[in-house]
Amino acid sequence: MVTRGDDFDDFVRGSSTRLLRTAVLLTGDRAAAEDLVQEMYERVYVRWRRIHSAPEAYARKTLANLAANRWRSKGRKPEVALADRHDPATPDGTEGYAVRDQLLTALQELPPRQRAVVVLRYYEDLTEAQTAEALGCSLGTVKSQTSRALDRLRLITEPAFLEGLR
Amino acid sequence: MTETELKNRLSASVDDIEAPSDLLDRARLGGARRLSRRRFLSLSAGTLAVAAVSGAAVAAPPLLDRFNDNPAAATPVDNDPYGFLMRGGTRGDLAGDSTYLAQVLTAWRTTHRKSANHDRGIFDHLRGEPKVYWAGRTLGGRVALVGQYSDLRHHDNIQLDREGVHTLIGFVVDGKDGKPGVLADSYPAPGVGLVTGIVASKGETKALVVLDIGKKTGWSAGRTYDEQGGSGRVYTPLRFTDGVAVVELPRDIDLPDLSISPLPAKAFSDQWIANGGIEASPPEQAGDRRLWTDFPDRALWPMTENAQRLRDSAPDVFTAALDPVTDKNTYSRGFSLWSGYGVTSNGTAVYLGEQQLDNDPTRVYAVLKPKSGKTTIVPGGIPDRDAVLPVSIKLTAGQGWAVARRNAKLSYRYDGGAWSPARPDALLVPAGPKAEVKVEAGGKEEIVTLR
Repeated sequence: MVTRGDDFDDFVRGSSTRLLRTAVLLTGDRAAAEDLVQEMYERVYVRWRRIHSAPEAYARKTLANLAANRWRSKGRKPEVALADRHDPATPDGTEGYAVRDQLLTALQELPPRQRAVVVLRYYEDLTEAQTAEALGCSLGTVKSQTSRALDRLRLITEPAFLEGLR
Repeated sequence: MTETELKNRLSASVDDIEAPSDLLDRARLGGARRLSRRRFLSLSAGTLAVAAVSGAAVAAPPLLDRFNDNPAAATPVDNDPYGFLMRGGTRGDLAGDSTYLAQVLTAWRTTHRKSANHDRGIFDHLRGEPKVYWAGRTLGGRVALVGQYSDLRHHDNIQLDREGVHTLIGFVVDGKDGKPGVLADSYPAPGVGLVTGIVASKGETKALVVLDIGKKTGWSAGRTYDEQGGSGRVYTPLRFTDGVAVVELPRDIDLPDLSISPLPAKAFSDQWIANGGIEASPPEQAGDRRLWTDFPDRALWPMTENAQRLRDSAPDVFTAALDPVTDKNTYSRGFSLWSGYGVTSNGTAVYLGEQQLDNDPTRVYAVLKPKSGKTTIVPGGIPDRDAVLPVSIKLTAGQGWAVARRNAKLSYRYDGGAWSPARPDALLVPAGPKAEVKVEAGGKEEIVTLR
């Protein structure tokens, strides 16, 4: 049996795009998000024997905390030229791009913890309790941070953007 | 907007993003490197016990007839990284000391169970006889390098490029009792550099022994920080003789800071010292040494009036200034979670923050960005977190001081005059005679003279 063999590979292949998207929402930056996701998977790799039965929760928690605490390596990736796919999306003049860009920009205006709460609650679909577990804080903190985050998002984005959402 | 609609908008923001195809490879490589950094911890910590065991077993019969012969019954894979250990006769000035060589081989044979690599199965299918590649005297005591073929198989905790016969390496040094003991052993693994160095110690004297693997190689005592805010390592070329290079190390050297690297040095070295930097705990285990963390909100501290325009970009400007001068051979980098920003009287933007590299102490910096001209970095050194004013950096060109203390009110005066209005957390003090800062925190008022 190879502990970090097929099952680790399967986990990475099955989760990497989704977690990279989460990381982009957390950081607002594609390159930084790739750094974070790589760092997260390296930690998963090291702890695989202990967490392989349920790696998702550990991965998500690690990712959220790396983003919030800004610990990351800048130089761990092989020194290869970035391919075109690493570039940020180019404005195409459509309303869809404007909406996406506006929301990503607005998210980056939030403090890291509030941003993490929004992403985990509304993108990753975690419950308040799961979000508290992932961020290592209390349920009350999640509730208050969510409320503050939505208030600030509401101010930043168009007035009707988050109307009625709590 | 409902929760579903917000989720849909979040999803739409990133739905064109796909993970790069090499992410799995990079994760494996980095993960293996992290495991590699841990591999020697338990074995090197048990060196004394190992030495005692090997010392008790030195009565084994002389095995000199095996020392200079290649072992039979083993066909190594192509490109076996440590394969050269098994070729040729024993080298070094102790190559003819049969008693010592016998002790070395006995130590090697009798201590596999104490190795951190035992559970990885690397000793399960040993082939042929071990061979002493090099044995010699150093100022740190006697050192021997041992090789032996092993048919490596995939195992619970081992990753291989492929299964097959590879050469293991053992590093043998004298214990405190003067008897040889195995300090560390290693095997080739994918994505992990080779362990080619060992530090032997006798009292306060330490010697570095590095294997010649056919590459120009240098050694560095540690990362240095310069007066321009830069950091990095200077590598001194090693001179190989008879298969190894031996260097006497400074007595005050911190082994986790010690490094070897092929020259010219690149971002990451692919050579390790068994009891050198490989032993340094990853920062996430050693603890966060940054000055101020755990902020409930983004910590952006204006140091002057009229600096609002700098606010949002302050963290990025600070980091971007340090990026090009920061040591590329950094395993993990801790960014500043707080940022001071302000404007001097001549319009220069000043940014304040900290940065921690690996397990080094955190350091504070001021970044000066004039209206035109070159951005400069003023290093403030290692802050004293217990000081009344932990951050106090004298800026260049007579532009004053940047100071900071979290949760304090800060004001300044010159020559015993009137205090300026107080400002929380961080403050820019224009240059002036006999400048002082009043620090109000925790119900106390203290005055610090700026120098």
